[in-house]
Amino acid sequence: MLPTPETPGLPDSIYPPSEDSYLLLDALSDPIQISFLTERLKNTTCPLVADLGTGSGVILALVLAHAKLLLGRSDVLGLGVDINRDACFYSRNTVLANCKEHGSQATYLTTINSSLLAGLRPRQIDLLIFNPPYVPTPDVPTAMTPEAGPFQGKLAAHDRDSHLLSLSYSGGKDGLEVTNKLLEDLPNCLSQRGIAYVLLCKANKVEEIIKRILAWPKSEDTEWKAEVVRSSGKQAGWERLVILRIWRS
Amino acid sequence: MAFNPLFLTNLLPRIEWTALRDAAAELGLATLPETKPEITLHRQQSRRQQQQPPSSESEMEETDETTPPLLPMDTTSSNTILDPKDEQVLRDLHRLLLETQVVEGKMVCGNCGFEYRIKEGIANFLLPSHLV
Repeated sequence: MLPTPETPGLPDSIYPPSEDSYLLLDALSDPIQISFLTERLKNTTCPLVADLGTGSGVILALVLAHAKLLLGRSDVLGLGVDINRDACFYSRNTVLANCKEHGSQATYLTTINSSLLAGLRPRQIDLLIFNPPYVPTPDVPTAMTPEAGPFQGKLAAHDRDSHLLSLSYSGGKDGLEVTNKLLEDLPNCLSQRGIAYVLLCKANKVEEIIKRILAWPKSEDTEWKAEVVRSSGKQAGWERLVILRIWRS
Repeated sequence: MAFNPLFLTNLLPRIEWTALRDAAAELGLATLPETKPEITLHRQQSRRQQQQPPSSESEMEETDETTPPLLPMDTTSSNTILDPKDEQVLRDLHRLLLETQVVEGKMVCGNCGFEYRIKEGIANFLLPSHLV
């Protein structure tokens, strides 16, 4: 088991590493996933890892700090994307500190302040990791932009922090509004060899999602695959959290 | 970060060359060739032999055993034969991509002219709510 990256002095506006984060860390450190990823990513071009909703940065930090072990090569590029600007700054420190601590040669690019895949060139991501906001809520909150957000300057510090934090868990209808948006973009953003690991909770209609993905149009003689590779928190026989691996085969 | 020709060569396929070339020129950082160069790295003779399974004792002895073989994914070694012209391009790329960071600035959309700000090294791609 690899050490979980530490998050000293995590601000209240950032989602703290929790059961879902640990499940993703667990899945990515699983020997089965390691050999799968190593095999998929072995061809020359440096792989690009994108962690959407980077948050504290623990997942991206683990993957980059142990790239050689987890992905079979060290010439890996890592990109964080978070809608919460605080998380962009914080995750940068988490990732850089961990890469340094473990002497990793992976290259951390930056954490951009963005919503999902906006601003990224298509077909670039080789490993996409997404721990989405999955809690069913009446609405998905609006992003807070530094220049022209509706909340700018009007919220007290506490309200600001809770608003930013709510972006990390509020998933809208069925907890799936943000995940569905990502899934729609997935065929366009993943490279041909690309793989996505997406966390879902039981309330997210996992079987329906898998069926939907399997029906996506084929490309270059490959079909879409989706498989639950990890699950946790069995409650009364129901698996509470699952990790879905999505790829072309 | 040390100059690593193999890493940079493996990075080339990802680069949107014209965009990088323009940005580098605008920032006055480097003059890149007009088109993306095709760079192939050649391993040194002793290494090439070491990559193949040794067929006899004598071949084993010929190889340089002090350094590990250069594998396609191993970016730690920079002991490669490189054309001097290619090396200059890779050194420029190293400087541009690995040693240069935009701390304060903006990116302007070529289509609509919207300015995406970079502050304290973090690029902001979020659109103000009236544009979403």
